[in-house]
Amino acid sequence: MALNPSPESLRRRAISSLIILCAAVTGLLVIHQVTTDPRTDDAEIFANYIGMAPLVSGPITHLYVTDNQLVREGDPLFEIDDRPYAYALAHAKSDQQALEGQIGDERRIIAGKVSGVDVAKAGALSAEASLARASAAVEQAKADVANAGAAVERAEAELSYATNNLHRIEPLLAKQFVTVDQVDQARTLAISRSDALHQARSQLALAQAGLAAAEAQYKQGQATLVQSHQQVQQATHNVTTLEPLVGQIQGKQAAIDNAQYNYDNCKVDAPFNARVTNLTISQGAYATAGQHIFTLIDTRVWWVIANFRETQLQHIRPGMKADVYVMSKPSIRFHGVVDSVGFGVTPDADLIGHLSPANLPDVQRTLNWVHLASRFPVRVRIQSPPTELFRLGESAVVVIRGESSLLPRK
Amino acid sequence: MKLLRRSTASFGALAALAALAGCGHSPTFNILGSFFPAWLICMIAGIVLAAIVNGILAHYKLEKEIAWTIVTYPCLAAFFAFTLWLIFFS
Repeated sequence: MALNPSPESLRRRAISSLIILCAAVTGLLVIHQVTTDPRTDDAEIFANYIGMAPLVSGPITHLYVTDNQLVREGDPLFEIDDRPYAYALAHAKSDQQALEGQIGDERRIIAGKVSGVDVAKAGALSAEASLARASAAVEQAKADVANAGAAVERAEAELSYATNNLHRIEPLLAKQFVTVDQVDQARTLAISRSDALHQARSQLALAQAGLAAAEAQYKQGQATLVQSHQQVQQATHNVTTLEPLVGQIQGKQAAIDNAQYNYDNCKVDAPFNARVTNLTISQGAYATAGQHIFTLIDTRVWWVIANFRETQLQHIRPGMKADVYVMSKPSIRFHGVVDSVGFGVTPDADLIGHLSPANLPDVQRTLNWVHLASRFPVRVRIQSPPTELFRLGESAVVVIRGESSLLPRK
Repeated sequence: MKLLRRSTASFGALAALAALAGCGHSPTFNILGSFFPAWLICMIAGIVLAAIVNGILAHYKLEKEIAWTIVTYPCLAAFFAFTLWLIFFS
């Protein structure tokens, strides 16, 4: 190169500089484009899916769907032999009817026992009357005793008079002041009075015995009254309630509802518009409650799960428009909307070690000079997806249309 | 000469457009079941275009017009690649 560059040399340098400048400018434009509209080909078509599992067990009697078939919401999928569940339902209903009958019977028995209480109360009243009567009898017997005592006293007085009279006139017989007959009369009188005293004493003893008997009867009446009261209480306690049976009504009804639920669930319908997948059984297969028979892919909403580097996430916000290409039809551009950005991925085991609660962190001593950016899944909802085109797991490319797409278009 | 280069570039772009038309606008290209990213295709096309430019210049004995060839041709290839990418995939 000459110190004084020739015009040719200057032109050559200008052309080259122009080319380098153009390359730099277009390169910056590309970088700007890629930054504001992040894109990735690390994306897959995705749809939510469920494993269809029956709620009841039994052999499958009808299988209405085939593998890969499109089903509409409410379409029948399969039926499980419902006979055992129909029997269970009938059994539960008969149980309830039996309970109702039992309640009717028990109600009558309780009415009978209530009448028993009334009878016992009447018995108690009768016992009270008996006691009053016995009390009166005791009073009567006491009066009899007093009466007999008075009779004994009178007989004693009369005997004493007759004896005194006999003793008085007996000495007079020797002097002939009285006749023998008079003396005999007086003796006879004394003897008869003595007998009358004996008789009166016997009467007294009889009256006393009567009093004792009346008192015994009175005590018996008291005991009977106590017994009657106890019988009333016993009869009252014997009256049972309906509660143990009434309490079972809800249980029986719940058993019926449960049986009905099981019976209804023998027919399984599609819960949403879906594609049947992974169906490898035929009718006759035994379906176990809670175990998946096949898979339903929810075709109402299709998504793209696109993994973006953490550095790109600041340019991705929910609501942004996105262009989606699927590799089976690369010429068609689908419109999508960013639905959400993932908030968690499995941490790098080399960095923070394996997460196990019982151990200490397994931190490596070696470390990398260059760290790779973590990537997070971004969910892009595809707008108005065609039914035939999308398949779960298909490769896709996503271009986020950045800030400008958040502004209202048109 | 600039005119020549421009026309060559536009011809190359048209050729690339014709070649890519069947694949539409998806920024990934399926070659026998492998998906190649658009930038790779653009880079190859840019290198090819730069080589074509170099051939044309050589044909018209004009290759001396380019200074610092070791830097300029890669930059030319990069320029073509970036331009193609911006035209078709941004």
